[in-house]
Amino acid sequence: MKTADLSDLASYAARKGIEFIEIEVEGQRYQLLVSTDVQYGEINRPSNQPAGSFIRSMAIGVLRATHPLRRTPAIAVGSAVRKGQIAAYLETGELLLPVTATDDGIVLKQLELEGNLVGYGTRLFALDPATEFPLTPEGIG
Amino acid sequence: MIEVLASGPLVSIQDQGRSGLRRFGISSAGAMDSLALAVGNILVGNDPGAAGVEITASNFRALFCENIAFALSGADGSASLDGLDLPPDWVIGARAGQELSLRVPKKGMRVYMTVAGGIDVPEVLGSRSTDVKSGFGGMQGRSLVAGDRLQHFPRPDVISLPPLGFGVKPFALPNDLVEPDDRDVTLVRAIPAAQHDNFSSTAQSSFWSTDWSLRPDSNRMGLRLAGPELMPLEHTELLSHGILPGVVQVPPSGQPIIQVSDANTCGGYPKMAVVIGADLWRLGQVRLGGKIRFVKATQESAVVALADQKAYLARVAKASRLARRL
Amino acid sequence: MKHVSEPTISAMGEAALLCESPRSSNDEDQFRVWEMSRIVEKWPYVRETVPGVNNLLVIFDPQAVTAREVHTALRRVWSEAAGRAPAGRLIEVPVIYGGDDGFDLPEIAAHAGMTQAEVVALHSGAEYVVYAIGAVPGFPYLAGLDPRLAKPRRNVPRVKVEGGAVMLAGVQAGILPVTSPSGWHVLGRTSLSLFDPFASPPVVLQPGDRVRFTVEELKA
Repeated sequence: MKTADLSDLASYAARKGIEFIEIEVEGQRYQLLVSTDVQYGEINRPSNQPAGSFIRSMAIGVLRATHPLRRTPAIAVGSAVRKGQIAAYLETGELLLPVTATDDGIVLKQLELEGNLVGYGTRLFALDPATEFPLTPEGIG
Repeated sequence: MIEVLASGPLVSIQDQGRSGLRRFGISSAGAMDSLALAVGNILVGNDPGAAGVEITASNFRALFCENIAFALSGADGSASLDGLDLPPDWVIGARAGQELSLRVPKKGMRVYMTVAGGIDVPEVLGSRSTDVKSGFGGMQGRSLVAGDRLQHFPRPDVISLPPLGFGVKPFALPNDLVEPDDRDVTLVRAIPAAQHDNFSSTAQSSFWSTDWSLRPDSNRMGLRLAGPELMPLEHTELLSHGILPGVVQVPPSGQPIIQVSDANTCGGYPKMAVVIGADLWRLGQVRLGGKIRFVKATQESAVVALADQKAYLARVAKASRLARRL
Repeated sequence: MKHVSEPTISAMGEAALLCESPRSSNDEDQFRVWEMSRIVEKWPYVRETVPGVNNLLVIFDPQAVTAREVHTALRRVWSEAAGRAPAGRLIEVPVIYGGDDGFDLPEIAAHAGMTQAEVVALHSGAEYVVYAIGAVPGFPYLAGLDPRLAKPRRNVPRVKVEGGAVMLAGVQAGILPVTSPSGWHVLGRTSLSLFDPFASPPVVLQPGDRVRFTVEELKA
């Protein structure tokens, strides 16, 4: 596989929010680890903390961080979110599908703008996973 | 079965009301926000006319005693299912033992709870709606209280839902019918009625331009409006005649009253205008102290509005079926 | 062909038309309304007809027909329909007049320039015809009130009048079957039940029935 093709593939993966690709071309296996440059803001993270986690889209739709009948977003940057909570909505026609928070954590950043069309797997929010979260007293492993 | 844990004085079982009985003096009753009830029913896979619970400006708590899909529609009651925050116009599967709680809406007035299969109470005069005025239908003709147990009809097919459920977008009103949020003014379209021109041109223009306040003695029979006094050019006694929800009467006090779901079926006061059928649901979401302003409409535009609403419900039904297959 | 006066037909929203006699309340136009109701309720786009006092409300499906078409059809039916007085039953209604049960009797008497006893004699001495049922379940609009007793509706309706109230307003008489707000004047009370949602039929009186009030007691 040519370098140019790998570069194209990496760009594609980065755009789609895909972190890891494994392909086999002409008997050669390639693994691509895509690292996107995410700003974590002012929060100081001790180095022994696990890497940040993400809330991802699980379908194609238009991102609605705020429900059409509400005035504030479902989750706010800087506030805590619980695993299993509705973090945002994906709009397709009249349908609104829930985006689930898959971890407890603090919301660090909204990665896609309100109204953007997002696809399966797109990272929507960056989370700082909780270590001493009151709702998970045994701590995050 | 669903057990009511906490309720308020204006919580009752309603479907889309009784029809064909006005000649006996029997009002339609039924959901004040009929659109919300239809949406809630469609979300759980019911006929739009199935019976649900109308929860008016109340804190409300219920315990699900079985696994059942339910929906919340109409106003945003800041609902919580065992701590999970739920937005309005949303359906989700409750598990046995889970508790739902709702608060008095900050915007709007009525929340509707529908359950898969529809609420099972006896039909009286062809409907499961509570006629609060005459005390029959629904749950023994009364509001729900703590301790009431709600049964539902069985669902022939199993509803498969995403784990956190799904929702639909609210009906999109034309831009010229929406005021900024902080003004709390609901614009409703109305067609001038038989005695409209019996009022002075000052009174007529007052009627159409005033932001009328909803008085606290408003209820499911009539929305009583406070504002400038509207005086007819001369006092006439009309013979009693059939009237409908939406009719805006002006009694001798000069303060208009909009007849709604439980209104009397006949009356004799002058009629200034009639709110169009497609906007009746909006009257069900005006809070006490909130404001209403009338916008002149025609038969033609009223019929288009009905078609728009029908099309929205068809899109909601389609979206709902799609979501259940995901 | 006998000349028939033109009705007043007005729109009541986009889905209803009210067809009214142009004359003051009379038997001939009431019979016409009953006959029209029987004809019009069979039209495929008509949802419901509501006979009133010398008028008919026609509720139709505005997505199936225009108001103009219904208007034209109603005008034609009015001129063609000529009902007959139906062979209604005679119903006797016992009344306790005056006192706490008929708290407006003194005012009605004062307005008529009579004693309360004279008012009661005129009210109970007449035979009334049920023109229409409406307002609240089973409420009869009765024609036949002696015009000397007529009094316009109250300016401000009462929030609550108890079921059983025997009342009048304008030139109409009535009986209130269930507790409800009302702008009518109360002469007395009856224990006769006029509405039961679980009975078949739910409403006791029908248009065309005749009513006679009897004096059970006069508290004046």
